[in-house]
Amino acid sequence: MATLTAPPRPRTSAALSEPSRRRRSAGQDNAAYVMLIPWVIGMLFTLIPFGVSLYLAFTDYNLLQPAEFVGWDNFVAFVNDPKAMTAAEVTLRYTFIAVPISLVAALGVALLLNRGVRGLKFYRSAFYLPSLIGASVAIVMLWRSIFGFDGIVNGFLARFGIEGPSWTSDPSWALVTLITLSVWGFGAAMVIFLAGLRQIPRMYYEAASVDGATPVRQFVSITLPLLSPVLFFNLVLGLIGSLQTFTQAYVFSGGTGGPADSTLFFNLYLYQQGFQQFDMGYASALAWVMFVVIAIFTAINFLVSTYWVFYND
Amino acid sequence: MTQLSRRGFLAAAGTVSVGALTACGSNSSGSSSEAVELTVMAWADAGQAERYEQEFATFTEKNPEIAVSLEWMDVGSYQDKLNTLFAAGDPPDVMFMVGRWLGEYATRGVLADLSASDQLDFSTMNSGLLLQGQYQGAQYAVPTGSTAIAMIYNTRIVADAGLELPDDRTWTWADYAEFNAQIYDATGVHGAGFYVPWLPTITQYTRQHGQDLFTTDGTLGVSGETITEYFQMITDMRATGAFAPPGSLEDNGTSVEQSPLGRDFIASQIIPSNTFGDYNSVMGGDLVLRRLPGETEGPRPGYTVTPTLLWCQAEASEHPAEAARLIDFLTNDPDSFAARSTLLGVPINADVAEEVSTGLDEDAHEFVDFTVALQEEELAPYEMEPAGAGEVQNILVSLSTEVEFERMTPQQAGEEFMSQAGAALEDAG
Repeated sequence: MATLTAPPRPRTSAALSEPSRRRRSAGQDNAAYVMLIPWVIGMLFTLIPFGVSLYLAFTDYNLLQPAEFVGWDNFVAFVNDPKAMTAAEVTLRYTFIAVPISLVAALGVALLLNRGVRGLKFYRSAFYLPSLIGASVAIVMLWRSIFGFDGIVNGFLARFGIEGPSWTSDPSWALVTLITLSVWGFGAAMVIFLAGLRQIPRMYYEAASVDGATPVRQFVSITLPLLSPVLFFNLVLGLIGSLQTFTQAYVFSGGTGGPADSTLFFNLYLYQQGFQQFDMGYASALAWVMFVVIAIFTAINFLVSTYWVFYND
Repeated sequence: MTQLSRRGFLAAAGTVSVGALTACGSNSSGSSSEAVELTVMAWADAGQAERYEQEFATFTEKNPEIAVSLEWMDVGSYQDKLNTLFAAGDPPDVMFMVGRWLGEYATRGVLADLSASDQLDFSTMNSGLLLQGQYQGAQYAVPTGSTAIAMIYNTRIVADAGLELPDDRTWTWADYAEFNAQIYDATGVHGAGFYVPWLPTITQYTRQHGQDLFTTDGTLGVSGETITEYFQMITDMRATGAFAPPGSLEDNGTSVEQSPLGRDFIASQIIPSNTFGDYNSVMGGDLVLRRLPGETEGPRPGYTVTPTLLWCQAEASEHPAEAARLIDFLTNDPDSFAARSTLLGVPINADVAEEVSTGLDEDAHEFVDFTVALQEEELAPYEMEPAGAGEVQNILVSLSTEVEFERMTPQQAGEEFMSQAGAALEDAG
């Protein structure tokens, strides 16, 4: 029966099909190249500045006069620049607080929504929405006024007799305001978690219930391991995104990184050096420092992942 | 998030390149016999921009071959945009500048030396003020007018408190603190709430102490003790309610209506006196213009009459003659003051000032009288702001925030100022 339904292909047909396949593939090649053009152009726009910035990182370049090669001077200056260290510290503190909280919030809400809530589509969209607009100028401005001295947050606290701090202008609180803005945008990670949760076969849970596993035990032994690739994915993206934070800080502080450098993100400091201080050589060096640091973080992430990420295949 | 922030960044970059294109298009015309379009960049609000545009229209009436387009924005985004345009090689032909930035732009060679231009008549201009548009012997700028800083008080609140304003020729900083505390006790309105780190205020305070903020060779002239004393004074005033509490003045940059003064949150403010009319028209004529305290308590008075802003011309301008002619018009032609009046200060051409002063409204009159009275007194010469002064301003903003939220004592802030500002001036010099 098997031989009847799938007869061996006659040699001739293969020989005949060969030229026609070549013809088709030539046409396809051309089409592919045509469709690749935008990507190639796009890559040029990425690769050329990439290469130029690497060169500029070793020069003294003020945008107006020709660049002058200075060797490792910019990197030596970076190591001795207290403000760059402040910027690195602000960025790391933000990342190490905002990313875990965002992930926990995203996972928590995803778990709740995965319990078969009525109107799931609505809630999913509602929670996802902030992540689309969270970095927009209008939202950051709105955030500023919500957390301002006379803002809604302090108005609310005042009802309970609490005198809230000045969230936006007190250097001890300004970064907290930006962290809440970041956490508010947990929806992107949540949608991915939700999709991941849907992939876990129900039968594992059924089997575990039969064996008397508590919901907590089920979460730890089934959900977490099977969700770990998704968690890893969100962690990597979250880390890279947080380390590159720019727009929120720029709008929030009007480009100054204030109050008192408390929102001076590394990317913002880099921008200040390049476009406010006209020190494009140093700014390029900072960009490469950031690139290398992000690469290292990501590499560490991948190395460590072999110990906790479980691929069920 | 990566994507979003990148998109936001690209959107910002897009805006900038559109601006660059506009500037590029307007510069593209050929020799001076053909029609020329100049671009002027200024910070303004919508009302001010309209007044400037009216002056430019008058200029085009007199010089039909030269069209002028104004690009205006709020002061916060001005310098970023200007720097980007310079970097792109498409700067505006004529632009606003302030003294503390002049040195930095001049050393980069992006500003035109106007002294050689045959389009500008310098002989009519006040030589003392012109000096402040110079840097290392070259005339990189022409003052838009002259002004001095001033205290404005809301007389309605002073009257509500049952008080009378002290004599502003002789009042001390202690009198000022006491007076504002009395206003607070009587009305709940904080008597004072000026922008603490503002360079002109600190310059004047320093001069009253017999020091100059900057020396003639571009180093720090002020002592750490003076800066400490200044911050201590504000801290003490906050303790009595005389000065607005920490964080409450953050929205100072918005419109006058929404500002702490406009909302009756504070009763006084320090402003460039040329903007008096803008404040008083919103405040229903309740404001009066007064001198800063402390002029008679120290070794010398601190007041200076300074350029309000500066007109500069880009070295890269393709129409240098026309651009210089525009600056000359804006300085030496009384018709150029018809709409803007004294918004940019008292004209630095005495004849023009005389002519303009006949048609002034009440607020502008009060400003001109205030400034002219100061000009007639014997004031110690004003020291130029060196390259790096802009960074010194940034340092003061940071330190005053640290003191405001008690993360630093005034003592520490004074010491930090000396080391940070000293280093900034050294780097720039």
